[in-house]
Amino acid sequence: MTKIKIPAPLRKYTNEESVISTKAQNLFGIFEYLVFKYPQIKTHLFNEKAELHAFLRIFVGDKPNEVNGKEDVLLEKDHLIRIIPVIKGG
Amino acid sequence: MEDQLFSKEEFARYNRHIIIPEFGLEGQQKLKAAKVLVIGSGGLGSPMLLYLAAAGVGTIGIVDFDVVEDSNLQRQVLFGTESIGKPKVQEAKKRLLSLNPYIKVITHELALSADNALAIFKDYDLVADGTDNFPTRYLVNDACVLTGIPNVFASIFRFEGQVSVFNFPLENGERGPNYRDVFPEPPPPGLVPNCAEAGVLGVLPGIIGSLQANEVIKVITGIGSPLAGKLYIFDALSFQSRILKIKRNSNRAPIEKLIDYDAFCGAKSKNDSIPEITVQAFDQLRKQGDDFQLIDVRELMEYEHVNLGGTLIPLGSLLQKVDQIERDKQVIVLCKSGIRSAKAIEVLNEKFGFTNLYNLKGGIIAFAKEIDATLPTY
Repeated sequence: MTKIKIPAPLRKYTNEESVISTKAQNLFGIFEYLVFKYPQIKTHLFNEKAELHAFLRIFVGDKPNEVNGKEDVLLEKDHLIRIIPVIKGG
Repeated sequence: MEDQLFSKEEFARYNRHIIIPEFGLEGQQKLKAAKVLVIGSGGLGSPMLLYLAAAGVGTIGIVDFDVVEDSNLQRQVLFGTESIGKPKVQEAKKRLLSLNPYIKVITHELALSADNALAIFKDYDLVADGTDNFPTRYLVNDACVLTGIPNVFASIFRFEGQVSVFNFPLENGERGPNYRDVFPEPPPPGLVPNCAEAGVLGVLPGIIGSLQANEVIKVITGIGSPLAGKLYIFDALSFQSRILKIKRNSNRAPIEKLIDYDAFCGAKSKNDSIPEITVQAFDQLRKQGDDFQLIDVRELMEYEHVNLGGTLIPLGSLLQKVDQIERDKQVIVLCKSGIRSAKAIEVLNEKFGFTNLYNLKGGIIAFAKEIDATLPTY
């Protein structure tokens, strides 16, 4: 199972779940599953061109990855995917 | 660096630094020679300023236009109960000089803007960003890039924090990634709440602000590896942390001048076009018994704490509950401060063609302050 960590600002769209597990083996598959299971999160992840919002970043392990519909990433079973949002609190 | 001489009292004060082999007298001299500008003296600024002052940073500038409020004291450990109502920079200066009289504290009691940022930044070696809004965060980033000084960044949300060192000078003469390389654009207004809107665990800025002070000291003294090209993330609930790699974005537009940051972050242009109603006019409508609908777009917990009897439709569920909003009468939309309600109206007008929505200016906080002081605030 691969896991995706949901940041606090987006958890209200995942019933407050902070980690979602899937059997998806690629990055696109993970996001398809996430949007299928929690439809409300879709507009908070992607813009009208189906591109990830510019105020979010996706990391596979500790490396940044683009989720732009062009290049997919094969995942290993212990990979943790992180959605990192811009936050402003000080 | 100028030769920094220490008095007998300073030698005694900084002894635990000076005896660290990697730090030594040279590190302490660098701290004394350094000029650090801290933007914001709130949750992050409080611990950061205390530790920088205690460590002996020779010149500390503080930018803040705000006054101390009672809701600050749960985390802003610079201030005491007697500080309520007083300017933060003045209270901070008093506290820091009490902690360490051998440093210089310069106060900038103003709102940082594109008009004054470069003139202020040019007198400092390093900036530490502890603000609480996107326009200022992008302004601080761009002003650091234009003046060529590093930006020690930190930000918090409820239980989570982020730390990085942006615009750090690399050995090859280039600069490390900056804020715009990681987050090219801010989110739409109202989508990402600040601490005042979403809440924050009081100890979290203590942890993250202390890490920020640590990075400031590392950058000044040159010891260790600063978080340049890295984004540190921390989750206080799971106590998990991670260092993520970040890099420069070659597709990003170059930063050549300061811009209108309110417009860039959508705070001005969109709000300008949204009809507003003042709390005084709203109060008049209520007293007259006029027929209008009141929609409250805050979260349930906020609503339970204090409300004006409106229909609760949190911003996140607005699209699913749009049929609860009436079209044939005036509808007044409110939130805590008027930002989320403006966002709600913008979305409803654009996507569903509403024309009868009015934003309660200043939100329930303004109503409590100006109309009904018996209401609890938060």
